[in-house]
Amino acid sequence: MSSNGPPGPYDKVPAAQVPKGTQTTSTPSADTAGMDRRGVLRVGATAAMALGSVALGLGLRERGSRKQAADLPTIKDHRADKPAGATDMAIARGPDPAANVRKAIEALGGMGRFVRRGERVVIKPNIGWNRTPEQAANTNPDVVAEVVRLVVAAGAGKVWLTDASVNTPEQCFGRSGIEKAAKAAGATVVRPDASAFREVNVSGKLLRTGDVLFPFVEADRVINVPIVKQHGLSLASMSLKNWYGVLGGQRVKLHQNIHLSIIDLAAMVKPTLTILDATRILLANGPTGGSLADVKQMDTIAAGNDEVALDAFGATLLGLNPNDVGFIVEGMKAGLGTLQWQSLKTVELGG
Amino acid sequence: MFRWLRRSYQVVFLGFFLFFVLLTTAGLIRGYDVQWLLEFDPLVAVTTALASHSLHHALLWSLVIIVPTLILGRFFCSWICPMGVLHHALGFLARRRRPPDRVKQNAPRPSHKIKYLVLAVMLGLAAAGSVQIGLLDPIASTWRGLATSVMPALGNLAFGMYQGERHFQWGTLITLVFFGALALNLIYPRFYCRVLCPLGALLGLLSKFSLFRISKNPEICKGCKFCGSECQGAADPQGTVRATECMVCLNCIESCPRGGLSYRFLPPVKFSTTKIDLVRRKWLGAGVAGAVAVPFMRASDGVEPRPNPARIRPPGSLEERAFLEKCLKCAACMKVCPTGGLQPALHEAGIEGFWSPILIPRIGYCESNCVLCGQVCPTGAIEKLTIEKKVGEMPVRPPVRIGSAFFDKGRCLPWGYQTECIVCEEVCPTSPKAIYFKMETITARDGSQKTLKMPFVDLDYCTGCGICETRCPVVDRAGVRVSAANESRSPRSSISLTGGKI
Amino acid sequence: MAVRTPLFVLLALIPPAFIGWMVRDGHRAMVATAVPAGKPRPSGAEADKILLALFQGDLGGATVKEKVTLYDEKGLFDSIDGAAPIFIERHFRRQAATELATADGSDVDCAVYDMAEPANAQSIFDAEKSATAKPVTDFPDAIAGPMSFVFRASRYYVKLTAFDKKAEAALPGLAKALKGKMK
Repeated sequence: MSSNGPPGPYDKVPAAQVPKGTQTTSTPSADTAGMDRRGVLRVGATAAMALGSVALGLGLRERGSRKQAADLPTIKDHRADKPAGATDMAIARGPDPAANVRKAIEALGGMGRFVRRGERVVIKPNIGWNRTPEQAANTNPDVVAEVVRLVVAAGAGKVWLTDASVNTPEQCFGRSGIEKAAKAAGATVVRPDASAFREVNVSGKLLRTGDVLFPFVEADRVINVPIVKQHGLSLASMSLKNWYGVLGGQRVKLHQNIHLSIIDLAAMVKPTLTILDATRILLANGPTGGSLADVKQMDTIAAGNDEVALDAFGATLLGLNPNDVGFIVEGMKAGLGTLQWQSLKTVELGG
Repeated sequence: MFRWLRRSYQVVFLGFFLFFVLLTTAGLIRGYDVQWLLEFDPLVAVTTALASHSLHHALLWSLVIIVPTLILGRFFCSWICPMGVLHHALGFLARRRRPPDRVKQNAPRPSHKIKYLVLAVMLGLAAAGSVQIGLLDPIASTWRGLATSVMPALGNLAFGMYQGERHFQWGTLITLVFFGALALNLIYPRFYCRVLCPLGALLGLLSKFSLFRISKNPEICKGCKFCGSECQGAADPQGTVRATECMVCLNCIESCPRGGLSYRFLPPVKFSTTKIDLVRRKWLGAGVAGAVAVPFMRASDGVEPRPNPARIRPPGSLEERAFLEKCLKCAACMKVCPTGGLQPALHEAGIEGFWSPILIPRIGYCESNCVLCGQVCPTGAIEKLTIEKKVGEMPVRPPVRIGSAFFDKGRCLPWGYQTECIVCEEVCPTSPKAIYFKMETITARDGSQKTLKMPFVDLDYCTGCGICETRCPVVDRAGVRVSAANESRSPRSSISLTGGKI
Repeated sequence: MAVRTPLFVLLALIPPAFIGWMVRDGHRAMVATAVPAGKPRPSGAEADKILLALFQGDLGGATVKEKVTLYDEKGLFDSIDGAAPIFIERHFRRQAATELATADGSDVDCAVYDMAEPANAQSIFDAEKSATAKPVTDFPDAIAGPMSFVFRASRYYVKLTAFDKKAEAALPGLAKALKGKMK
């Protein structure tokens, strides 16, 4: 690079020796400074990058809006119209649970009274606990299967079956026998995964918003298929209490005011039809159960559209006075039904 | 001439930076935007925007650095960056005396491309939702080092006159990292800036588009390499100037005995290079490694739903996932907190939350009429609150809750030792008080009847501020303690049914 | 070059301008010094005046027969005997007791308790309410028993007692009139 006798690093070359205004000529672009075609391209690229950064910055800028309660969906009223002179409640007794279901529904006017062709239906049994059918902690699988069959036969467009279990869903859905029976009967079983819940307006007296399994947001008809059980806090768990199973979130908080929470949930869902499973009932150590000594065989099915009345009937099976059960009394006060189930148009069918 | 301007900028901006850091204390802060430099920091804007898919409005200021860098090159590193100034100043200690030795020190090395890999890893982490950039970003690191290490040490030596006695848990770790980074300059000057700094890497990438660059006049250059003896960025002015490494310090121009170097608009391309000697495979791999690390970190410490009860976040904090997409761990909130209660987390917030702020009530409580932490947070991880919003108006509007108190009845004086106390009720700041008492008559040790005030917590009113725990006379593990449960920022955390949200 | 000097000056001016702007911008007082919302509660003589004013003006056709007597914590025992402790432990402030005459001349005993806070008034209302008490339609926090009407409005708890059927019928109207004055 340097010629012989280079000036050392400490020597300053007198300015006069340096040719002024030197510019390499010959080779274009790579050697030239300033604006030529390549230069224009470079300026253009830089300008594009600059403008792009500004645009990106402004575009990604935070906007203050947050989802308001008003934007949340509300669960619709699933009740069906009552034909004139129709039966309100049917109680069927007999050794075959599926036959009891059929008899009770027939007495009410058939499933066609509740489910129209093409409608989307969600069936909500009690699949809360990791127990066998004999332990009477979940709804009897034969009862569930028969309900599914009747709904499918009525021409429903979509039949979901779901519950938000307390124990792990895989074990609850399996050991209860319900998943297998329901699938065989033609239902789409929905597991309560984290992604299956939607935030909705509960709009109750106590509860305002909550996370609910999506079939309850999307269905046209909701069918409640609970079992009759004793419960330590609320005294009993039957139709009205079964709606705990639509909830995700921190539903364990509801026990701080259990009776009013039950009513708020039942008022939110407004189901189409309830089939109360009293084939086997749990008399003690509920709602989990475990010991067969706490189970009583009753071979009874009660169906109707008045959950308060059905629960009052169920309470008597447990040896309780319905007036002593907080949520039954509150349910009546809230206008969800009557606890004088005998005063309704009831049909009892013997074994 | 411009070199002296650059030196003045360095001094002025460093001074201004330190001045505002000093002002970040409850008594002095007023409305100063003490986070101006982090708001200018393009790396903060880019990583938080990548992770949270939105840009905090204050971070739009980064365009003031991004756009000029696209035009002028990596001037930030030698004109503005306070960490750079510190490194440059400390680099003097390692500076060789003879210029040819200095040329060797400032020679470009293969290790200088490591910072681009560091940047790639950080961007990968951010893209997967985890902001860890604050650990290596020079400005966030300087903030953290000053706030939790240098100023407490100096302040405590000065009898706590500045901010009272300050202690930060395992602050020695932060001290070691901070001074360790500075000590690297003993290897060669600006070691951190050349080898590790991800901000330098980002600015270097932007410099690929720079229109103004250092360029040499080949007719004049005699190859003395004197220019390289003062080059801060190891940009090889003696060879082909590396525009991505050049920090526009202008030293080379002044060093050249012949005046053969100049900083000019669109110099001939052959005299400068923007190549970073890194194959695509390597930096893509680094980015992917960063992104892939996130699910592994999250499998190790779940962010939700059962967090560590000690993970009490500052009031106004976003929900945890969103918080980790923004928190830089710059420790400004820890510095400004008037009681010194905000501390750098170690394990309490999991691996991702290492050095993020948590409240340790035994050290300091959250003053109810104070919203300073939100005021100083540069990325909005802690949102700005007003005192009205924070205090609420019970029962009409609930307050901002950061946790809830619970009594340890074995350690509380009335409950466990039949001794009168209720300091907790006395200092509880809410109206009505979240800690209330009921009279109870007990039989004392000597057989006499004693009436005590027994304290209880009302969850609907408790904000989790922690003053009860701070002031509890049971000096080691307090008789009443605060945990993060029931914090209002996380719906999954609520305990009480009041309010009606399941 | 001719550009160098103005450029130098421009660059030299940026830091002081920037710093000056930052300092001036931040020098304003902290925004977060506002006093929290809420009206200060009237107390003492002021609150007594408000309490007495409830008995002035329209009372649904009723008139004040006896001068309104105010009882504080000490005097409450003289007024209501053993019922006093449950009021005192709820931070009761003042009782205003008097006899009213309805439009047709029947007597009504009227006791208005200023409980200092709505929450305290609610508390005493809930405590004294019997399990079989019937709520009154269109009148929240009120119960009508035989010969009595009890309600809570704002920080006041009011007990109206009638002695004959005619007065009993007039109680809801009287209660409404009183409630209308309670803010």
